[in-house]
Amino acid sequence: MIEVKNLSTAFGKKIVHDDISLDIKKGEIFGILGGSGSGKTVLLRQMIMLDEIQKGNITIFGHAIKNMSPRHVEYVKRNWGVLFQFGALFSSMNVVENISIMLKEYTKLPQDIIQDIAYTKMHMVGLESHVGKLYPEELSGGMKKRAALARSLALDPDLLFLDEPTSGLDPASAKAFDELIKELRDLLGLTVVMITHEVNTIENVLDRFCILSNAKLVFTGNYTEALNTNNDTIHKFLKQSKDHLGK
Amino acid sequence: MIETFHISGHWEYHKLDAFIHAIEEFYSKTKNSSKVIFDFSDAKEIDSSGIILIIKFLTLYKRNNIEVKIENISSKHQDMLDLYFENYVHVDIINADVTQTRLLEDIGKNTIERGENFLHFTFFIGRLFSMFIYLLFHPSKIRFKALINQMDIAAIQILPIIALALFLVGFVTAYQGADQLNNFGAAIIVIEMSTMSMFREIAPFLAAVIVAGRSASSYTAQIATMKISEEISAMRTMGFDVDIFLILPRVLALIFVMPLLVFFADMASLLGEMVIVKYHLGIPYAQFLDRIYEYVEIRHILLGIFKAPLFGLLIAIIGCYRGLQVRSGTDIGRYTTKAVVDSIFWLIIINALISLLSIELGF
Repeated sequence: MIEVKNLSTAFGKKIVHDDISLDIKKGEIFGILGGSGSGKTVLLRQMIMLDEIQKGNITIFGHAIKNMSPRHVEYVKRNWGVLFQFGALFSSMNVVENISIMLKEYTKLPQDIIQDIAYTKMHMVGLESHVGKLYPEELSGGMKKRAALARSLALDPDLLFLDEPTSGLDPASAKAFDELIKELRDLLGLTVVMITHEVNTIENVLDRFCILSNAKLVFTGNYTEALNTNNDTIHKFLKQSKDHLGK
Repeated sequence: MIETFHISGHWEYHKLDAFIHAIEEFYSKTKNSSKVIFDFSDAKEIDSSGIILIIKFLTLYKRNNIEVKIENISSKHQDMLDLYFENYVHVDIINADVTQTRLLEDIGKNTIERGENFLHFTFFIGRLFSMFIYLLFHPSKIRFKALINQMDIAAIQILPIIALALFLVGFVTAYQGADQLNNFGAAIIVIEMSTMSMFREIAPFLAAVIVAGRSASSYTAQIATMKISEEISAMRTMGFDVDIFLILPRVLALIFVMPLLVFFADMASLLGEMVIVKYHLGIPYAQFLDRIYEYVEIRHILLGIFKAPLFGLLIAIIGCYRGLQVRSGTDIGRYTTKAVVDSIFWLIIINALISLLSIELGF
């Protein structure tokens, strides 16, 4: 689904990525892990074409991002959904309008069907109908994330990018959100790429993950494999996440 | 006879509009029968939009007690159907009816809102004034650094704009005046005429408008951003008074610099007039200045300079108040516009009052 090949990035003198390669398969939930400032967000932003790729390349849906033709760019962008860390809902629109915006722009469907689709998706991510008429500023953090998830699912993407989907949520909401993402993956056959710090998510939701540390990719694999390595950095990282949760 | 609807091809969002007409027609044809069949045997790809469209009609049939049989559906499509059926919600689009009661309601709401707004504003000014008095007795608490900084931003950096604008305004005013007065053979009068109107009205007012456009908007945007990022809350918890730290330095800065700016504006416009009078009427600079000494009294300049602090106060208070009113990020743009429009509006009103008053009093 996504192939990162020999990716190197540097901002001024600071090296962010040093020759990173990884492979994300169709239908899996893949995690990008790493401490603060380890270049996770930059990697994700490069995958979704917000940041420039300096060296190396990323292939997505079989098309290389560098020098992609406008036709392919449009195809790729219609087939992914992105959930930003703080939702990034359009503040001038209510929740239903936010979810409908892609349908309104990219389809010729009549208003009532678009609205049915929007409300159904809202219901699917666990929001009740009365939320539809509310504006982003009136929503709690968890509701914003759910609404943003519904928006990213509007056009049935094959690929979903999540930037810290459960950060800032209380443990119960975080767990529910994790379950929801797993359920949606199973039902809709999504491929999910997410940045996360939550040890619960790492343990229970991710099929595979990679760990970035000091600009290098130090690990790719699943949770049991990570526990079985004898690399200190990886253990330290997983332990830190656990300690972090313990607080 | 039982009617059958064949779902065939790609029921996906970008192709769906072609099928809507067919399914609607089928529904209107069969809404009085007792049973219909939906045949999925030719269905290729169906996405959520397609499924929801189908579910919409399945629900309509159900509501009319018409039995629907689904045939030849693949397990994948059945799963999707189940998933979305479970979550399907239909909310009727409520048409906003604008009636007279609504109008009355709006008037009432607006009145109360404006009343409350006025009270808040009065409270804000009162609090600011009491803080100002407090500072007079505790001068060590005045934030001199912030004050100087604000004066630099509000005055020094704006000088080039004011110089250029007022030079040009003085230039064109004198030009027009000279042209008209030439018809009466009294072109020389343009010197005292345009200088006096510049000193008394145009220069102070234009300087204030430029400051309003620049400072009122930046005050609102700065304070609003600080409020949204909870900087102001953080300051409050540390015991830093927002009025002393943020508002008063801005207000005092504008009060102090406005008279200086007005004087600067006077001089810039004077230069503009001198240049055009020299080149259009051929009157040398020395003669121009002599005539001003003779005919334009100092009180004309003083009037403009005396009303300047009032303008500064007005602009700063409106700018800061609008900034504090902002509650969410979406408001910033709206309130910034409001700050500029309000401050220019009140500038015009206050300026007109002072103008009337000064003429009546013979000043």
